[in-house]
Amino acid sequence: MMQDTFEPKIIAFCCNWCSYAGADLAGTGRLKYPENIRIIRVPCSSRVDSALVLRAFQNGADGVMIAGCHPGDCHYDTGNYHTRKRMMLLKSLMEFMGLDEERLLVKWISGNEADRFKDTVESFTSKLKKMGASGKVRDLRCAK
Amino acid sequence: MCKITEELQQIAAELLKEGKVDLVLGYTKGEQEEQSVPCIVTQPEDASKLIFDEYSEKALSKYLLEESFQDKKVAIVLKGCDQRAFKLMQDESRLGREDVYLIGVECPGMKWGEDLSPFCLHCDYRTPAKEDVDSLLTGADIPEAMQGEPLDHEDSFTDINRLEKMSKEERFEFWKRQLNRCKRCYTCRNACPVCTCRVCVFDRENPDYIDRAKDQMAQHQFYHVIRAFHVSDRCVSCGECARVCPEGIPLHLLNQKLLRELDKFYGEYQAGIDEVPTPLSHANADEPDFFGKEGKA
Ligand code: SF4
Ligand code: SF4
Ligand code: SF4
Repeated sequence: MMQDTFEPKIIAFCCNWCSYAGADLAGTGRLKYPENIRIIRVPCSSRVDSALVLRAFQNGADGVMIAGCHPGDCHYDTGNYHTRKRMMLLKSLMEFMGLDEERLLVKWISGNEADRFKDTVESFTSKLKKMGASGKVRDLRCAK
Repeated sequence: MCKITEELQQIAAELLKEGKVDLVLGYTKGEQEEQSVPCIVTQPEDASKLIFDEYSEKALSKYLLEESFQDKKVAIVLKGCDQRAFKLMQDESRLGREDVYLIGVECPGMKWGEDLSPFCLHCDYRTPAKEDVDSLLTGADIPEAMQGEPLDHEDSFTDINRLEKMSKEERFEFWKRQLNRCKRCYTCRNACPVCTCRVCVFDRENPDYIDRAKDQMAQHQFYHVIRAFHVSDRCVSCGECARVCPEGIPLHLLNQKLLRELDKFYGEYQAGIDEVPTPLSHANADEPDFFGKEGKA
């Protein structure tokens, strides 16, 4: 029953040069995507370090999405190469600590891929709905 | 007295007598037999205090950044891992090679409770390279377990394998039990020879960003993940972080896990030995893409 009413909160860090434009395009094209997502515009996906991801989880996010340009298309040439390196490590560390690494999604979405943006948000939202609310990162210390 | 200690005392006395250095930074015996502590010697007649043994685990290199040493000529005792840490500071432009006199020592492997340190069993750089130091002292009494080929990472850090085999919930419970004891005293950071930042992110006066004690919950987790990242590719595998923890938290497993992943995906790398920049300080197109399997839509 809980599952049906639970609306996950998603924090999406979107790169200014691609995914943010992709989200914008989805908006102007009147493509409907779930309202669960809160977008934070960043200058490059590599701006998002592990601290920001953790902070998002600690402050109540059920899922965190990092959307950047496709490899090879970075406005700063190598930004997204750093993103994928770091986020792979962060995911494996989360997994090693028994945290839900599936709640961290990294996706490459360009400025003209409004559909891809919409699809990504939809599938991530439904996945998180199935998983339920995230609690592990918020209260590991005091968890009973 | 072992050969290295003897030669060390001689060199220290000579350096001080000839005025080549103002002080020698090394180890002396602590209050207990099974304890060696850092020691600063400024007079040639005090050189006899210096020792080097299997308890000389403290990483000394970071002391060189101390304010009070800045206008002094210092000689320092370095094991293999300590010299790696020194090299890293040099590569990161924290200090210059010419300002310091390096006394490299052959490490017999450090104690880890009753046993030998897993870090030492895995180490293939016990002795600094001759060309990297000013004097090199060898002839340590090497225990049998340290002779021959060093152990693979999997055979040294077996706890990582054990954790990897557990279910997600078991791993979560394990780390909850461990990290729940953390006092965030930051001793692990303070002892770490590669945690050398002028202002550590955890000392910043900006609680909005790192949230320090404002919210007790989860802050330890934040601390450990972030620190594991900061040292992941720069760790020189000395083992001090875990050794000094008053709560006995095996926090080294976090960054050793990251080290293992880095080696697996981006090729083996040893900070302070290999000349190329540390793996996380660069990124390029040829590296594996874990997030683009379905390709460009
Ligand atoms: S030394 Fe131990 S208790 Fe202190 S901050 Fe590090 S892990 Fe926590
Ligand atoms: S992280 Fe631990 S093992 Fe690595 S250099 Fe620092 S103190 Fe040594
Ligand atoms: S924890 Fe990070 S910021 Fe703090 S000293 Fe270590 S490397 Fe520097």
